[in-house]
Order: sequence, then structure tokens, then C-alpha cells
Amino acid sequence: MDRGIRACILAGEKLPEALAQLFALGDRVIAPTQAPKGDIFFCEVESAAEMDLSYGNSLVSPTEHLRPPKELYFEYRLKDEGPPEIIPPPPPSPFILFGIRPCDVAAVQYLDHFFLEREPADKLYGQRREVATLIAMACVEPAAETCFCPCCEGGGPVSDSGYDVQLTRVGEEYLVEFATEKGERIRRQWESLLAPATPEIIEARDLQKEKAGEELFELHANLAAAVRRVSADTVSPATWEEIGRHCYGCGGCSYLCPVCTCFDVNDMKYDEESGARIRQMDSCRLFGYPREAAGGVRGFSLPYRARMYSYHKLSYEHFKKQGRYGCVGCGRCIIACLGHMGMPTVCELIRRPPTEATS
Amino acid sequence: MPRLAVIEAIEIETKTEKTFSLRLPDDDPGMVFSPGQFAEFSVIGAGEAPFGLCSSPKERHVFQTTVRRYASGAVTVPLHRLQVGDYVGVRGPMGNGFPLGENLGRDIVIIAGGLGLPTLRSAIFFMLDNRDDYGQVVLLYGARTPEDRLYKEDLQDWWDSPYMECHQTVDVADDYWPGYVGYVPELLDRVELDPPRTTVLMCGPGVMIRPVVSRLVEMDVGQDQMYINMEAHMKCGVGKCGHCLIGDKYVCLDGPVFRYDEVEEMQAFQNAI
Repeated sequence: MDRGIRACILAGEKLPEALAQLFALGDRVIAPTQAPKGDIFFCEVESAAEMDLSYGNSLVSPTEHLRPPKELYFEYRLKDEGPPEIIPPPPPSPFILFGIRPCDVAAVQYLDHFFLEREPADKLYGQRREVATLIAMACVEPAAETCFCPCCEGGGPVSDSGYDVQLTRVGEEYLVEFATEKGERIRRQWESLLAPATPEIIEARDLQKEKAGEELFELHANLAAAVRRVSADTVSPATWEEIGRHCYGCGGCSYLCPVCTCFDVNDMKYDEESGARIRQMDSCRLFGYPREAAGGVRGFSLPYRARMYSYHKLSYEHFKKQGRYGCVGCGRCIIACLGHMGMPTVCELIRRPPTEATS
Repeated sequence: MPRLAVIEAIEIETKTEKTFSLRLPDDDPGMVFSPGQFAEFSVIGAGEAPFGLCSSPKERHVFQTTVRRYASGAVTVPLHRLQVGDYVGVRGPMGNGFPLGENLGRDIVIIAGGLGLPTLRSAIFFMLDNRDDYGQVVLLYGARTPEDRLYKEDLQDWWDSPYMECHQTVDVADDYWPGYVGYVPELLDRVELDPPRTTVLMCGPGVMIRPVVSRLVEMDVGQDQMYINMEAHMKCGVGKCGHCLIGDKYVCLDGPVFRYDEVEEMQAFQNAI
């Protein structure tokens, strides 16, 4: 193994013990849990028993713990005399994000680049990222029928980088890879449970990874073709009209998308004297999104929004700024879209003129 | 995290616009900006919005911004209610500013419409302070009525100044208006330009920019010598919130001042569907 990754084997029956030991580290543990109606959410848990390990993937991406849908800039208290008091929020406490899927690992890499490497760095995201340990759980099979990660550049059911620890199930065992300082801390905690990795298991995993990427995924999205056409600007207006015709402007796709980053800043009053400045997720699919200084909304039709959304995710111009395309193949937009315009369908419409592709 | 500045003076410009002079504490590094840049201003408890900086960049600890009140403005209405001595949160400066340093020795034509004048006022102060660095300096300013003109005293000073030319026009005159009545592009016929030596700085509504640009093109001024301040679209000011994204350009980070050929690309993106 290269890049200083240490690979070990964790026997399947020792996993519950390994999970129990995570709690001994003193960090908050955030793991997949099942909501009453069966949806999976990443929530803070107090014992391994609360986790749901038969999960596919969560409805809301675990990136919500790094970039919450609503977060505080500061709280304020107005005074009768003198300047208002501005109270910064307490720094976040360390947490372990257990069970994050490779698509969301890729999304975290995207967010790292967007919030931290692209100047100016975002302090709130930086603080959360610094105290987060990512323990990824690679997929042996598609987590859901909406998954299409192998179609995304740098994506796939097993991560190559971006995690602190990654577990991949190989038969009855787990191949566990520790990639960073933070991962090393977990390894020390698990030391008594681990055995050294054998070349056989690594080979078996690599074979499994290859097979998964090529064969197991039924859903395909021709992202590469869409990228070419969006970047060259050869998509006909009729295509955007067609996508826009199916769009309700609800913003669901961006609210669930693990790489969507847009937000709005507002002051929220607790009472007459105090309150907070918050930022909350916003979506370029919503009508009021581009409201200008004079209160006007320039030609913000549904087709234009569809184009803006796709251009941001798929164009080479944004790839240059961001280092990767803005889709990780998690398939959440397919679940969210009322008009059945998930990313694979959009790619297909972009690739082929709408007259042929409409259902 | 915003810094707190105290309102030192409020100048009432028109019925809807006020100019706020703000002072930052002495231990603060101050507002070190170049003309065309903007800052985020907030009324704590009401919200935050970006406004252009309109004072001379020479002053660091006292700076000004002009704000128009909109009936539905979540920030502008409470901001207009503030009194001298109240506090305003500021972040900034942000954005790129006009390319004044790159155009030394050239003639500068400044074209402003209505509320487009503030950041250009800052540029005028800068050029008058460094008068020897530039050729001709010409201001063309258009407003709806004489009453709607901003900075009436400054306009008078510039009109009287031997160091620059100042032309004004209004769409609708009143009984006391001695000047020109008409639209801004018409003012271009009243100045003598040397196109190869000319750089144009503009800020104003789209209905003014478009005919001005076509007139300038007719006069042989290069499109790569026209700069436009497009500050209307912004929100967070640091290229993260996404609101000002047009195509692949963040107005707040890559702008708000753009060369006209870039603006054309952005408009082509907006107008494609």
C-alpha cells in the first residue's frame, strides 16, 4: 500500500467490539440510524446499539455535520448604551463520523476544496472539519438502486483517498485502512482487535472494487458526454426548456446534494434585545435566489435555473476552479426530484435532443 | 465576524438616499480599500448587505457609503433609521476595484447613472489626489431629476474644478435646472475623446450601459478599455454563498468591476435561454 496507508484486518465478529471502543475515545460519535419510517439519517449516538449497520445510504448526506443546513455566525445582544455585544458560537467539539459512504467522502473532498483551499477560507467549515474523523464504509454492492458513483470521475464504491479510516467488507472480514494522523488514533484504539493485512485480502478487495465498478451498478449516467456538451456550450435551449418544464423549483435536489454549498445569511431575532446571525442552505432552484440590490429578480426562469445548476456541476470552467466535477453519484437528486429529473436523466437529455429522450 | 463602526455623520442626499460616514476604532487596521471595492454593512439584528465604498481611499478610519432605501429593504430600511452615534457592523473591503493603477497616463472617462456614482466618486477623489498620473479626467453623470442627483456639493466642486471636466444630464428637468436634459449617451457627443488613449469606467443601470457602450464602440473606444462595476448581484462577499454566480464568475470575488468583454460573456450566459 502506498501513500502511508496502513492496512489491517478486522474480523467480522469483532466489529461490534470495535464500534463500542469508538466511544472510549471521548469524541461524539455520529453514525447511521434508522428513523421510524425506515429512512437513514446520520445522528449522534450514545451506543453501538443505536446504529443501523444494514443501511444503504442516508437520505440526507452526512456532510450536513460539516456544513449544517443552518448554522450560527454569532449571537448578539443589543444594549441601551454602547455597541451591541457580539458573541461568537462555541467551537465545535470533536466527533467521529462513522459509516460515511465513498460518495460522501468524495463530497467532503469537494467541500474541503471549496471552503478551505479556495481563498478566502471559511472559518466555520474549517473548525468543524478540523475536529472531524471520517470512518468510511466502502460499498460492496450499490447502496441503492439510485447509485451511479462509478460514472463520476474520481468516484466509485471504494474510496481511494479523503477518508481517515476506511472499512471494506471482504467475505467475513473487513479490510481496514488507516490513512491519516486521525486514523492512526483510531488504529491505536483498535490495536488489540486488528491483524496485519495479507496481500490476498488486498487483492480480493481490489478485484471486488473493479467488479463493483464495472458490473454491479445498473444505473448509468453519461456524465462525460454531458460535461463535454455543457462545457462546449452546445446544449440547445430546448433541452433546458425541457428540464425546466419538469422542475417545480422546490430546491430539493440542492438541499439533498452533498456538494451543493449555496447559503443565505439572515438575522434571526430571539426577542427585542437578542438574536443571532445565521446562514442557512439556499438553492439556485428557488425563485428568490438571485434577488438583486434593487429587489429585482432578473430573468430567472426554471430553464435558466436548470442550466445554472448543471453548469455549476458539470462545466469545465468550474472544474478548473474546483479540481473535480460537482457530482459524486450519490443519487439523492433522483430521490428528491418530483419531476424525475435526477442527474442521470439530465445527462441523458443533455446528450440527446429532448425530442428523442422525453418520456 | 463583523467589526463595529460608529456612525459619525449622516448626509441626506435625496429622498431615498443617505450617505453614512463611519468611524472604525483607532486600534482597528481601518478600511484600506481601492476605489470600486465594497464592504458588507450590517445593522445588528436586521441583517447584512453589500454597499460600495464612496469616500476617498486616503482616509482609513473614516469612510463613507451611500445607501438607497427600498420600501421592502430588510437592511436598508433599518439602516436609514439609525442615528449618529449608532453602531454598524462592517466586513471588508472586498472585491477587485477599478484598474486605476494600470491606466496611468491615460484619459479616464467616468460614466455614471443614478446610484452608480458612489464607487466612481471614490475613483474621482483618488484621481484628483494623484492628478499628474492621468490625462484628461471626464465625468458624465445622469440622474432622473435634478433632485435625484447624489453628492450635489461634490458635483458643484467638480464642475468648478480646473482639473477635470464634469457633464451632467437629467431625464426630467425642473424649473431651476440650467443644464442639459436627455440621456447619458447623448453627453458623449459633448466631449472630445481621443479613443486610443481613453479608458472608460462605468456604473449604472443596464438601460444606460447598453446604449453607452454602443455609442462608445461607434467612437472607436476599445471594448477592452471599458470597465463596469456590477455590484448589484452580491450577498456574502467572499465567493461562497453562490448568489452572484453568473456562468463561472463570482461577481464578488472576480469583480465587481469587469472588463466589458467579460460582461458580454456573462450576459450571453444569462440571455441564452
